[in-house]
Parts: sequence; structure tokens; C-alpha cells
Amino acid sequence: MILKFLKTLDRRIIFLFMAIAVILPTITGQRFPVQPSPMTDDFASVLKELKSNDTVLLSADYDPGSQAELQPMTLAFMKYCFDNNIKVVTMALWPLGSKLIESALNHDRIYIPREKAIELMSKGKNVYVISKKRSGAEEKIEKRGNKYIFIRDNNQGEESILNNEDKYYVKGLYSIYDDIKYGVDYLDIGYKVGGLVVIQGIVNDFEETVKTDTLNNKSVLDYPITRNIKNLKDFSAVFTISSGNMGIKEWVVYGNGPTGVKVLSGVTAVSAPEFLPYLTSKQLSGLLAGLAGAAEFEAATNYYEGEASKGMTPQSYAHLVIIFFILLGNGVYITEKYFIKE
Amino acid sequence: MKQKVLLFSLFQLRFYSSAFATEAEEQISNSFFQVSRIPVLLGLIILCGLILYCIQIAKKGQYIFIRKIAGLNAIDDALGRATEMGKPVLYVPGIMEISDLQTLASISILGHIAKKTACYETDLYVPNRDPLVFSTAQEVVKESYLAAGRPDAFNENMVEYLTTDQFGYVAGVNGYMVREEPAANFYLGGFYAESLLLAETGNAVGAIQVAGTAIPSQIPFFISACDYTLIGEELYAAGAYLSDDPRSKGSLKGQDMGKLAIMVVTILLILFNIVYNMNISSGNDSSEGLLGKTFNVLESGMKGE
Amino acid sequence: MTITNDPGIWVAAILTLAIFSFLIKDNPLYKLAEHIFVGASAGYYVVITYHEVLVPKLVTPLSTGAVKDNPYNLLLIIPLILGIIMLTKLSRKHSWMARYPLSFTVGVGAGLGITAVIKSDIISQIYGIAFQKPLWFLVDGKFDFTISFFNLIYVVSVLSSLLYFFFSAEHKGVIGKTARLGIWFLMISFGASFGFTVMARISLLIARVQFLLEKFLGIMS
Repeated sequence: MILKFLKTLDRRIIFLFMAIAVILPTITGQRFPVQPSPMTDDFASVLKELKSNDTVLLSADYDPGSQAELQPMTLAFMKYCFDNNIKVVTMALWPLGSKLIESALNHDRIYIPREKAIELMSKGKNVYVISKKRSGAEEKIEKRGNKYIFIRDNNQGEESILNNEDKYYVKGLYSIYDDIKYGVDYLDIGYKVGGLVVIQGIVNDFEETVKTDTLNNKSVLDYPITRNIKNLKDFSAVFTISSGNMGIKEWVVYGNGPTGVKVLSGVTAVSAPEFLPYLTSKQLSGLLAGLAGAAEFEAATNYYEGEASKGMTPQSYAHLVIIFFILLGNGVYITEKYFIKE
Repeated sequence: MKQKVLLFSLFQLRFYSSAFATEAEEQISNSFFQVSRIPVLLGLIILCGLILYCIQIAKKGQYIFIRKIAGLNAIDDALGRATEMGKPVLYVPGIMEISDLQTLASISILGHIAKKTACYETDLYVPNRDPLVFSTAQEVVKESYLAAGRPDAFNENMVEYLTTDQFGYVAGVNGYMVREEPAANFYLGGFYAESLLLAETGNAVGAIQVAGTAIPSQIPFFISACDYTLIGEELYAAGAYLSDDPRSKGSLKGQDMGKLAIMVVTILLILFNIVYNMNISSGNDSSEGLLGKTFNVLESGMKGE
Repeated sequence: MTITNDPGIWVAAILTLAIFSFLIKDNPLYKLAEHIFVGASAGYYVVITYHEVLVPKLVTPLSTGAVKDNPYNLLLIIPLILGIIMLTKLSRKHSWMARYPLSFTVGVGAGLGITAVIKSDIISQIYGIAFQKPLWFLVDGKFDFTISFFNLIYVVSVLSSLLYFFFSAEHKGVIGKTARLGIWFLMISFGASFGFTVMARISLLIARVQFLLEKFLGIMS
């Protein structure tokens, strides 16, 4: 009877278990510690070899479909570079990739500790809060005299205090820094159509292939960051955040192949196994795989309250649910095959 | 003696190559010949040469041996079962275009299957996503029925065009499976996200399923939900095995020879590396000797430096 | 808990829930959301292609001023014609014409790719196996058994898997046994690959759940 029920188990029951496994830990905010794996450690150590004033090329070769796994990598990587005075040139081989870079710089939530929030407010930056004791909705904080006013949806606002339990954030990485200058510390050359032709172009002649930036449509030679970049070899590393064709493979084959430039990559978990051989042959200098890779990278770079690290607890519970059902299914199969006689 | 001459020429080559390489680095765009890329040139000549040579001998009518792919037996078994049960056979040629090699391999397997269904008088249904694949598949099935001496058993509705929308196509095929409950399902060709959706539904209706694709990320899904899966290149091999085209057979043979060459080179290099490292661990400083120099030439040559 | 007033988040949340409704049963709401997604992304790609490709790569260089500055820009008429011929694919009668631009693209792609692929996927991989995974691994000049053993597994797995895809000899005797070992290694790798895929799909679910709980419902963890 039970065996029959289990054999014909409605798949919606499994969905229900999965939903509980993901929703509950998200609400309770339980956290499992994240330890960087050797693969992520290797990635981080390559990054740590970069020196101040080195220039890296960040290619956003993904779209919102894989944003969940890859955007945390973009954020953590750019933050690491900005913190360590490594200059970043951003581009994309996917049309929506450049929008996601823009989102990381100007729109994504970047959580900060309370002290940092106070410091940024004193510098006139927009800081937001989600307060547990208040509505739980997003409120903007304004400092008027010695008072902190929490404003929701452009209303008058109410005075409140800055609790340690509340979550503070700014919108976009750009808001954390005062000294990051466009054209000096970072430059966006936007979406480049043509995939491998673009990579081969940059391998031979950066300026001829790229010509202008996206923001001001000015020649890349006008910006200090790219003035001395002649070809791909002049970048200290390439970091491709890739979720499919025109991405990691092309950068390894057409970028690293002819020039030997260090290629680092963050990929979706689905495609990670395919690229491990490149890591063995050192064609790829480092690889982050999926949300777990992103979370480990956040841990390795001390990224504050990263989205990927937050996702690791529900991820672990969901894996437990799957393991449970795999064992159950196999248990039913074995019982039926060896222990039940017709 | 011969070995010494060979090694000497290798050193010479290395010497010239380093001289050229420095110059090449200075004026990368002006140099016609980059010595550091000689291994690539050799690889290109050997691999392409082997393939072209094998195609030539196949064209001349020489017999080309290709082992029977186990998956083809699974195809025959599934067809046999469908015939016994009096239920239809479903053939999905993937979602890629006609120019894709996987689709081409799939079409030759379809020809083989259609001949069998014609002989066994079993119903066959081939839904298509791409209009060009549709017209090719229709032609191939028609020809197979003709070749099997059963042109009367062929009807136009056997091969249908559904829609180009990926998930719309899946919905159409799944709908067919649920309604008609085919006894044998074949998914051969290029597949993406639809692989598991199709294979799961087929599994649920109790069909024997044979799948084959060269898309690495989809193979695990087919393996877990189908009775037999042609893994990666096996799909091309099965297509070539069944095909009458000497180019398919010849190029498969040529690729095999290429693989053999790769295996031999890899094993030789591995053995050489063992000897070199054993020499070091036994306390000899071999970096300066003949062994060390050969090691350096080979390593930097393979690295492309 | 405070539900957001942001209309953008409302639209995103409703569409997410509509897609999730498929888990219960296929329904019109799911189909609507799916069609909106397909239509919106197709529209977006058209706009992007126009602004990022057609205008800067074709229209601007072919404008009178640009051609005067650089007469070689006129050569762009060739890809323009090839592009237009590509559109004949839409007609059943004239679709054969599209083969010409297609063969051009395939030819250029193969030409550009072949040497690079031989370098990265064959020569560098042989280099990786033979020189990065030595079977006699030395640590400070002394043989290290553990690493050498793992390298041996690596090398055996590569060679046996490669042999599985060797079609010119029957899988009998030593070849058969080695190929059988190869298929075991392949199955293990497929298992790992499956695991990675499951992990990726759950990650997507988590991101949607985080969005619904935090940004839409205003539930703070």
C-alpha cells in the first residue's frame, strides 16, 4: 500500500517539499558558513597576484536568465578590483551583458554595515534601509541635523534610529566609492557584436576594434585607463562571466590561445564540468562555478552580506530534499525488486 | 645515431624559433611565419590530411570498417517491441537546423528506421521544428518506404511541421505522446532544454526510449530518462554507419586516425616525462643534459612559446 | 511585511508566479507569461541589433560623409547584400539563395576557428595531460605517491574515454575492456554534470524566491 503510494507519488508533493526547503531558510535567515573550495582559492590567489594599477578586462557574457548565479560574481569581482585599485575595462559579448554591468554599478543592492552607512551618509550618498521593527519595506535615510529620517515612497518621513539589526544598503557599487573615476579607474566599452571576431580583433589591435566607449562615445585613446592598451596582452587578466556560447570557450581559445593572457571565468554550474579540462591545462587560470562558486568567492574576498552567500542555506536544504527523494526512490525500487514476491 | 640527428635538428629548430620568436614579438603583425606555432601547423596538416585521405579512399570505393554501434541494436529492439505491441514509433530529429551535423546524422538514422517501420508495417510519426529539416525528413521517409517496397504505406502526415517555438514544439510532441502512447521513442539530434521534458513524458507513458545527442549538457538527462543513449560522437558514427555517403564514412575514419595519433603522441610524451622525472628524483641534474634539453624543447613547443 | 508599491516589481512578481503556476498544471496564465517573455526578448534583441549593429557597423559608415572620408567603406555593400540574401530563407521558393551567405559565414567561421581549436583543444590538452599531470610527480625533487596516483587516474580516464569513441576497431579484448573502463569514467562525469545542473536550477529558484519574499512581499529575513 505504502509502496504503491510512493511509486505513484504526485510530483507536486516533491515541488512542495522543495518550496518549503527554499522558503523557510530564506525567511529565517539562517546561515551556514561558506568555506572556499580549492578551486575558488586558486581563483582568489590569481586575483591577489594582481598589483595596484594593473588593468583587467571584464567581459559580461551572460543575460538575466543566469543573473541569479553570475551577478554576485560580477559584484564581488568589481568590488575587489575597486578596493585594490585595479583598473577595470568592462565589455560584453551578449547584448544584455552590458546592462547587467550597468546594473551592478548603479542599481544593485550593495549591503553595508551600519558604520559604513553613517560614513556614506555624511558624504551625501543615498543610503537605504530595511528595518525589521518598521515596515520591512525599503526606506531611504536622510540625515537632517542629528536626526535620521526614514522616508518611504517620497512621503514626509519619520525619525528613527539606526539599529544594528537593520539592513543598510546603497544602490550600485559606484555609490560606495568617492575616488572611482570613469575613464581612469574603469571604462565601459559596451556590447560588442561578433563574438570571436571581436576577441581576435582585441588580440591584434584594441583601439581599432573597440574605437569608442559607450557613455561618451569618445575614442578609447582619450581615456587614461586605455591609452596604453594596444592589444589583449596589455591586460593583466581577462575575467569572463559566461553562461554559454560566446563566452569562456571563445576567450580561452581565441584570447588565451594566441596571447597566453590569463583568463579567469565565472560560469553557471550547468556548464562548469565542460571547462574543467582547461583549468588542468592552465589555459584557464581560475574558475568560479555557479552560485556556490560565487558564495565562496564572496567569502574569499570578505564581501559583506553577498546575495550568493545568502543563497547557500536554502541551496543546502534543497540538496538534502533531493538526496532524500533519490534515496527514497531507490529504496522503493530495491524493495520492489528484491523483497516483494508477486 | 638517427635519434641524435633528430634531437640536433630539434635544437636547431628551437634555436631558430627563439630567435624568430623575439623578432615576432616585436613586430607581431608584420611577421609571415611564427615558428612558435609550428605544432599547430603540424596538428592541422596531420588531422586534416588524415580526414581528407580517408575521404578519398572511401570515395574510391575501398571498404571502410566501422564497428557496429551498440545503440543501433537498441534501436532495432525498440522497433521490434513497437511492432509486437501494435503501437506507433515516434522519431524526434532534434531542434537544430539542417546544417547542423547532428541533424544530418539524425536524418540518416531516420532513413534506417523508416525502412524498418515500412517493412514491419508499424506507424511512424516525425514532428519537426525546422521547416528545412521537415522537408528533408519527409523526403527521406518517403524514399525509405519506396526502397522497402511499401510506397503505399507512406502517408504525408507521418512527417509534420509543428512550430519553430522551442517550448511550443515540446508541448506538441508531449501532447502526441500522451494521446497516442507510442511504444518506441527516438530522440536523435541536437537538443537543449527540451531534452528532459520530452524524455520524462516518454518515460511516463512507458515507451522504450533511445536518445542521442552531442550537446554535452543534455547527455546526462537522456542517460537518466532513456533506455539507451548514443553519447556524443556515437551519434555521428551511427549516422555514418548507416549512411551510404562515402564522405561520412571517410571523415569518421579520418577522425579515428586523428584520435589514434593523439593517443600515441600523448602516451609517448607521458612516458618521456616519467623518464625525465625519474632521472631527477634519482639525483641527476638533468636540466642541462640531452634529456633536459629535449624536455624543454617539447614542453615549450607544446605550450606554444 | 509590506508589499511594495513599485509597479515594476509587481509586474515581475506576477509574471514569476504565473510561470510557477505551471508546477501545478499547464494553464493559460503560464502560457501568457511565456509568450510575453518570448515576445519581449525578441523585440529587445531587434532594438539592440539595430542600435548596436546596424547603425554603427553599416548605416553610419555608409553615410555620405563617412564614405567621403574613407571610400573603402563602400565595401560594406557586400555584407549588406549577403545579409539581404539571408532573408530569402523566409521564402520556401527562394530559400536556396540563403545558402551562399550561409556558406560564407560557415567558411569564415571554420577558417578562423580551426587553428585556434587545434591549439587549445588538442595541443594544449595534450600538454595538460603530459606535462601538468606527470605520472612520476615530484615534490622537492622526490617522488610523491598520492599525487602521482591521482594523476594516473586522470590519464587513464582520458585515454580510456577517448578509446571508447574509437570506431575503427571492435570493442573486444584489451580495447573492449579499456573502452568499458572509459564508459565508467564517462558515466561518473555525467553524474557530476547532472549534479551541477540540479544545483544551477535550484540557484535560479532561490533567486526568484528571494525576490518574491524580499522585494515584493517585503519580508525581511
